[in-house]
Amino acid sequence: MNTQEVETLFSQNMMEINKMNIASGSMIKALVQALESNGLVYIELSDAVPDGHKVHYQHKEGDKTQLVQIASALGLKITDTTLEAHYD
Amino acid sequence: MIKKALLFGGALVVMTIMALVFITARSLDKEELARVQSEMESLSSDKAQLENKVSELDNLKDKLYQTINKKNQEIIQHQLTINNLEDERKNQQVEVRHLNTEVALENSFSKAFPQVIKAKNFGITNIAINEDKTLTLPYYVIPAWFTETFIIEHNNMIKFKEEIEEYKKNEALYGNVIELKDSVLKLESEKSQAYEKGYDEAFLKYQALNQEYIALLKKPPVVEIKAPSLWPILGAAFLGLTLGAGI
Repeated sequence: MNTQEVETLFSQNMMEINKMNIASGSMIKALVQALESNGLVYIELSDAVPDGHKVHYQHKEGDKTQLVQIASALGLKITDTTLEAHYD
Repeated sequence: MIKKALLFGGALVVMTIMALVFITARSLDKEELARVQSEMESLSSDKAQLENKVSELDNLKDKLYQTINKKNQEIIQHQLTINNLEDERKNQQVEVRHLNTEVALENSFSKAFPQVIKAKNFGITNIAINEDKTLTLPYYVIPAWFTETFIIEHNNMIKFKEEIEEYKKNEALYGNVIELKDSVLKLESEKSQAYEKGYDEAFLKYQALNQEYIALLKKPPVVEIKAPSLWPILGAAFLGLTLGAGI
C-alpha cells in the first residue's frame, strides 16, 4: 500500500471507530496503531455496531500473526472476521 | 226643576271624570317617556364604557402577543445554539479520532488534562508484549489515582445524558401544555366573540324597539270617535225616556 492508500484506509477506519462506544473504539484504535508501528500490518474495519463494542475487519497487508498477538495483548476478542472489546 | 238639576249635575260629573282621566293619562305618558329615555341613555353609556374596556384589553393582548413572539425568537435562537454545540461536539470527537501520531496524542491529552503533565514519568512508553520482545505496545504512564478523573468524568457524562433526556421530556411536555393553553384561549376568544355578537344584536334590537316605544309615547295612536249605530241610539233613547218618565 502506498502512502495515499494508507492515509485513506486510516480515515475510513477512524470513521468506523467513531461509530463505536468511545472506550471500545479507543481499544480498536490502539490495535490499528500498534499494527502499523510494529510491522506495517494493515486491516480494514467495517460494519461497526453503533455505540457498540464490535467491528468487522479484513486483513489487507502485513504479517497476520501479529494481528492475533497484539489483539490478545490488548485483551480484544478476535475471530477471522470480527474484533470485540471487553466491556462487562 | 229637580229633574233639570239632576241632569245638569250628572253631565257635570261625567265631564269632570273625563277631564281628570285625560290630564292623568298625559302626565303618565311624560313620566314613562322620561324613564325610557333615561334608561336608553344609561345603557348607551354602559355600552360605550364596555367598548372602551374591551379596546384596552385588546391593546394589552397585542402587547402580550409581542412579548410571546420575542420569547419564541429567543427559543429558536437557543435551539440553534444547541444544534451548533452538538455539531461542535461531533467534530471534536472526529478530530481526536483522526490523531495519527503519539506526539499529537500527547499534545491533545496535555491540553485536556494539564494537571498531570508535570508528574514524574508521565508520558508514552513502549512495553514489549511477546517473549522475543519484537512486538511492543505504547502505554501512557500517568499517576494511578489520576485515573479517577476518567471514572468521574465518565460517570458524569452518563448522568448528564440522562438529565438532558429528562429536560427533553420536559420540553416536549411544555410544548403540549402551551398547545393546550392555545386551544383553550382560542375557545375563550370564540366564546367572547359569540357573546359580543349576541350583545351587539340584542342592543341594536333593544335600541330599535326603544325608539319605536319613545315615538309611540310622543305620539300615541289616535282614537277615533264615531257615532254609534242606530239600534244602540234608539235603545239608549228608549231607556233614557223610560228613566226620565219614571223620575
